[in-house]
Amino acid sequence: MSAEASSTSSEMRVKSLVSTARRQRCLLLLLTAVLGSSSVLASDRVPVLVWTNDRSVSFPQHLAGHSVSRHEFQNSYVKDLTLDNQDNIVLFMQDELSAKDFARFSDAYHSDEEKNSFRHVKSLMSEMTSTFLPSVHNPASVLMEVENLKSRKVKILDDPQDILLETDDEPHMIIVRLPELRHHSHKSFSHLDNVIGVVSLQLKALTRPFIAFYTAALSSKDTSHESHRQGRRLMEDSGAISEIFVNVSDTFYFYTQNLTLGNDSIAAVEVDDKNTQCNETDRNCDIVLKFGGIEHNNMFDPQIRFQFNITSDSFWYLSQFTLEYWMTPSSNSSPRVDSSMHTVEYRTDFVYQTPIGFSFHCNHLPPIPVKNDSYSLSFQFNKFQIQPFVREGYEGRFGHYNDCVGFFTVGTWMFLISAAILIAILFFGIIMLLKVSTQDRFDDAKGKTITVTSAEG
Amino acid sequence: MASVLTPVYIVLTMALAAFLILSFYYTLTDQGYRYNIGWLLQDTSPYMWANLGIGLGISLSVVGAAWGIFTTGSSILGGGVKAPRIRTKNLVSIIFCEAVAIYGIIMAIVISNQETVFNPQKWSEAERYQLSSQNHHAGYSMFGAGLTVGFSNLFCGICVGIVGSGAALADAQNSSLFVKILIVEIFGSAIGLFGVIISILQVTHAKMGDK
Repeated sequence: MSAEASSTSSEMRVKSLVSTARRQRCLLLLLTAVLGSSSVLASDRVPVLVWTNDRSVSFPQHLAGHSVSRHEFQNSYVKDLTLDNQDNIVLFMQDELSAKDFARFSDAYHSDEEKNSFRHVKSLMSEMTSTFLPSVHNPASVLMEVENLKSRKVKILDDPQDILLETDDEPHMIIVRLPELRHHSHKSFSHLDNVIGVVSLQLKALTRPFIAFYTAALSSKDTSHESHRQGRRLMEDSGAISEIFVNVSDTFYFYTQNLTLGNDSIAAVEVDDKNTQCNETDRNCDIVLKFGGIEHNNMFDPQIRFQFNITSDSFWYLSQFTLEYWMTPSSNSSPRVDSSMHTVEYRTDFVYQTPIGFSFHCNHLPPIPVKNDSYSLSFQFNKFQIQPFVREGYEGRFGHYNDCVGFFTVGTWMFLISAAILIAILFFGIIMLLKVSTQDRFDDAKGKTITVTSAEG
Repeated sequence: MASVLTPVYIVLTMALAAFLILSFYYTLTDQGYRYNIGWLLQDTSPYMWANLGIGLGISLSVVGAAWGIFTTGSSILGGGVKAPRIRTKNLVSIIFCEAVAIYGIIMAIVISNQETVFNPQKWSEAERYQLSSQNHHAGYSMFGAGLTVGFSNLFCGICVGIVGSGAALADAQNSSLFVKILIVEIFGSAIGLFGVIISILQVTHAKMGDK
């Protein structure tokens, strides 16, 4: 009975050990997945600080400015360290970190907490063998996945006040999850530093030496230096974008973003096939686009009408841009009377005359006002590209753009003209200066030389 | 440096090469229609032209005056060594040269008084075309007026200077010659005045502003 009991109890102990190991392995995998996926998504370079009180460990030389790849980090730093190693491996994981944080918040000359947020880290690194790698690619995933580390028992620590390790009989892998960094300031980093300090005190008390890694999953984005760039930009991206693309049977292409009429934004337009036709032989393109969402203005079933014509030298231009709507809602019982349609004409000169086969493109269009300016609603296109009379054989993409802003803008020309005048003046001045010479008209090589007696003393 | 003009040739060649490359690029990519001098003249700010006119007006006048004074002055100084009697009489030539600089500064002040602020966003639809063309006209008028007074004063100053230098040296040799040569100088000085008159005519019709 007792033998059975003892065998079952030993079985149960084995089972429990196995299940704990499996649980730890599952947890480890989960952590790897979370951290690995986040680091893969960000594919950032994070700094890594390593310090160890194991005297036999030495770190390879780190080249300044060199960004350590994942492969290199794994082979040169992690594998070598942990090959025959019996040390505890400690991993301080933060959510975001960057080398700039160390530069801004740690101060080598002051030891008070206000100025130096990394006191403990600094003292640990200076008293032990340490190295600082400012830019490593995905170090967290490397540390999780290396074989030698996998075989160790894992202990995850969220609260620094917890007891670190119950027993010190075998090397462990300890993962300390540092609290989330709300904002970058001396106080938040000091708090993290205190956690590291408390844990390190416990680690130093153990007999087994340890190797500590301090790194993060993501590189912190420092937005304090972002400024509004003015002038020319190639790419611009801000906020939610609602795109509208219209393709009328491959003869008319139209693209815009964030179209608004007055204060209402127009999310989608629908081509009115009955009233739309675009034909180069007719030299006329009439597009009607219906949209919705502005009934509150008493504008029911609004639609935009574009009308394009061709000049005698094969340039297309926008001849009419109107907004049409009805003042009464339509219903099946009472059909709409056409006479209650209102037409508002807008200015058309914002689209430049463009050769056929080319598209017109403008990134920053000003709000387009009504022709006689008595209305308040104006159209606002964020980006704008339009092309009627798409040629056969050139379908599927916009033709070459005729941009509202050329390579030489007006400002460029104004600078060039003024600078050319100034540089011409400068050249005149320099050349005249170079022509200054002593007068040699009355020099006579064969004549008497002038002697000047100088008084002595 | 082989010659003093070598850097000038280099800069001109580079400018010509840039112009040719750009022309070929635009022509060969079927974008010749973008070459548009009308756009350039219409969209450049009238302020730039007006201020260029004012700046060139005064500075070119001063260059002419300076050149004249330096030519005459060195002759007076040289001739005055052997014939000190010429010194006081020949200062008249210097005054003729200085007058050219005064024409320049007067015209610069007159032109810059015509320059006022205009704001196209305040214009209504009806008056937009008329105001825009009026402001462009003002900008180009001031540019032209400044160039007119500047260049005519420049050449007037050089002319008066060389004649004055000859007058000083002739006077040093034979004092009866001075009055005759002074008549030549007066003719030379008149051309500066012509420039001022035409410049005033150009600038009185210039109207900049929102009305």
